[in-house]
Amino acid sequence: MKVMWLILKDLKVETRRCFEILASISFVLISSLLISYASHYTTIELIVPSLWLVITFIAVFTSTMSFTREIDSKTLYGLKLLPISAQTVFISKVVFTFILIVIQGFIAVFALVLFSGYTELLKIIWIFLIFSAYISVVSAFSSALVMYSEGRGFLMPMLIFIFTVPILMALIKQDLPVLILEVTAMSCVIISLASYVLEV
Amino acid sequence: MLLEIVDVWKKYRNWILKGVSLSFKENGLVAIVGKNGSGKTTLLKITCGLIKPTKGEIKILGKDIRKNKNYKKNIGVMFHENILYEELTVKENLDFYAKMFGCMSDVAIDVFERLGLKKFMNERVGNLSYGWKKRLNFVRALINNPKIVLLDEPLSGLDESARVELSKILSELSNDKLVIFTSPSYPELECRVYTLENGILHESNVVNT
Repeated sequence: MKVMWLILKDLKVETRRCFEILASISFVLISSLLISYASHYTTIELIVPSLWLVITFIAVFTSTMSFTREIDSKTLYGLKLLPISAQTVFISKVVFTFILIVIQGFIAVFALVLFSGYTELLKIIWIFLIFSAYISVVSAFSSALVMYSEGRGFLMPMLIFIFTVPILMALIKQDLPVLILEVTAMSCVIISLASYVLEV
Repeated sequence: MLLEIVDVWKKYRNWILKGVSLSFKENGLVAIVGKNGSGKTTLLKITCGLIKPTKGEIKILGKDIRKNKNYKKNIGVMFHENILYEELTVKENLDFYAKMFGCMSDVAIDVFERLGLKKFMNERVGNLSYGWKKRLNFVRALINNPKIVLLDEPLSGLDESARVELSKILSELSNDKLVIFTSPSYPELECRVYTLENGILHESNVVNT
């Protein structure tokens, strides 16, 4: 229940700062339009890896709305003093990030289908959801890991890239069983490490 | 024992705290006085578990806070900075913390009304002035009706009337709570005073108004 209150609080804060979300959605729409246009002159299959790239960018952008924002606004002190575990806070951030990534990811998918006419994209919606879930875990973890660092603007995308490498082959090959296996294993490791990062 | 600070040392580049020890058996009002950079805030953050000491331990109700995470139910902390969500309204912020603690204490409701915050109920915290934010953060620290209240410079930055009212509230709260607050100068309140100088804590005289 407390996880739900944390997520609702984050969503409420985010909707009140809607200009940041709108900036991200603008990026998604412009990227989708450019990728669709370019795919007519190269190869239509280019659209799928481009979608993963767009989602990775969204994850980098969303990571700045996670723990780093809490530390910048000093509200992390309030969270740390609540009688809840570090893992509860982490899970709430993962779900919050997942909601933001999925909403923007769906916009990207539908914009790509609309602009390019490549309806095959709708067949890989499960892979899209699994990748979004994994990258949400990675995004929240990266944000937690570097929140105290001055170089976090550089470190966050680097960490997100490093954590994406282990699942990259399965993602590109669209191998669903292997992807599920790798995502589950990596997520378990990251979630168990998160409590060490967030504890004082 | 309500609170024990046992031989706490803290080093950043230099030693900020050098073997600070304090213990409180009973409720009361305690001031920690020191110049800027003397380590008051660091001591407060170590006491509430936000910062790890280089050496030493903190016990709340006889239990080491590193081993017993339930201690957070027994403390209320107000920092020098605002830690409430600026994008949310006063009501939304207080509701959020009340839900997370599972209660909204009568003390917090009473203090909220006495400090004149009711008129800002639907105002975003970001729109409030420094003084009002400070009062609101004080109310937040009391939401869970804690046994120990830690306040970082609660009286600074407030206008005269708010300072008088808050001082009165602090004295009243100290009847059934241990209230520890920091101050850059000697407070005009009846309380036990400790001075923090060069990382060493000294007990001072009781100050009377």
